[in-house]
Amino acid sequence: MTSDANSMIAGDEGMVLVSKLDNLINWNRKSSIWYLLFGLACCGIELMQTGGPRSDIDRFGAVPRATPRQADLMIVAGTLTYKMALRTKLLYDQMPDPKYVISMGACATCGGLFQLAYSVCKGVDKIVPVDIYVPGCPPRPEALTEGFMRIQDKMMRERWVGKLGNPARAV
Amino acid sequence: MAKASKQEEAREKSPTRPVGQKIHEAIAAKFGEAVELVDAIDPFTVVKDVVLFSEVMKFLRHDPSMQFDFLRSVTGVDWPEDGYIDSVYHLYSYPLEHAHVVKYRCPRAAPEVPSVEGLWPTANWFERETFDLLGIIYLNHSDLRRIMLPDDWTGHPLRKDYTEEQDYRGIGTTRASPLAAFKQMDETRAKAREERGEDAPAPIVSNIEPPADWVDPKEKRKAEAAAKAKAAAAAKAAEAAKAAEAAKAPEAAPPAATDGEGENE
Repeated sequence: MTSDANSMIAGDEGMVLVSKLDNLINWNRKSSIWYLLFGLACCGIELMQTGGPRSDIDRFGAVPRATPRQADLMIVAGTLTYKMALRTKLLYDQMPDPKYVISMGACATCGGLFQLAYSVCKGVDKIVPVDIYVPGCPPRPEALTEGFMRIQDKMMRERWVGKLGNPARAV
Repeated sequence: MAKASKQEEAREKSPTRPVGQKIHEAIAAKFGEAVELVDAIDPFTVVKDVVLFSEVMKFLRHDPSMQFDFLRSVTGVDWPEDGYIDSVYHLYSYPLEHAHVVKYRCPRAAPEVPSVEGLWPTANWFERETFDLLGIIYLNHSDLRRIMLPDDWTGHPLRKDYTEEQDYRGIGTTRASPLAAFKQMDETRAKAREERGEDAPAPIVSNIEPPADWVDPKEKRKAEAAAKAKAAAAAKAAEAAKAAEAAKAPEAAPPAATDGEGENE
């Protein structure tokens, strides 16, 4: 287990781990974040690099999914036009709870370089709630990995036991 | 004056100009004064009449001396001050390897242009795009819908007088600058410090010394610009002096000598 809250007891039969159930659930969740393949512009290239062998977020158990129905995390990578914004909302609604959103790069965060263009949405947070903003144009794979780890931190802080009727985001 | 001559020079040098002039000659021979032939680096043709436009395009497409079989692009230009919109056609001929540009000039109030889809099928999508962004209506087009913007979009964004809507389907089209919030944060902190009776924190100063031979590039550019301006002023003064001298004594020294003087300065 990872946190100080956990402790180990050496027993006769072997090792016994004691932890909170919340920590166990969250540890499992954060070790298999499946993200939606959602490259909209040049940030998508860096997103691919992040999944590639050098940065390799596969080591966190993160694998790209081609369908929102199997994804926990949506990485909005690139310039979001109004036409795409409606589709983005649709994709987000199709993801099962609990779900998280990373706004990757300047364009997804606020419109970026194209903020004054008539067709560009001024930030993905106008459409869906955003958990982590990763600045950069585009952000390097290191930066996106950092954002990814902040999502893991957020997951570890969530509480489930006793809240199963109404879990997740409110925590 | 110098600018105009520079333009003329560029026109003289232009490798595509003779080709354009040849095409102009052919068009003038066929249609006479009715079409406007503009001589430029790339000569182009302006047509204002509907019937004539169709005739010109047919001529360019099918005439053995033209054979423009490839429509490269259809675009448009909005001229709100002059009250018209241009629909611009870039044509190319693969068999004869020459190119030409035709503009159809229509009033801004009723921008209607006959479609050239019958001559070049590719015009279908080009004209949809120009309709989408500039609002030019292409008559007899088989399927004149928006092609890039959403179907429920209002207005044509490449018109010069286009203003963005306040929202699109409930999505706001403006975003507040974060600078105001930062400023407010600074002010709040300063006020809190004042209440606690604390001094403002010292400004952050770099403790890294630049190398001894380092020159600020801004200062360097400034010095260079000043030196250039000084040289230009000196050259101008020398020229004026030369002119005055020439006026005083018309049979004065040969120009080569004065040139030498200018160089010495």
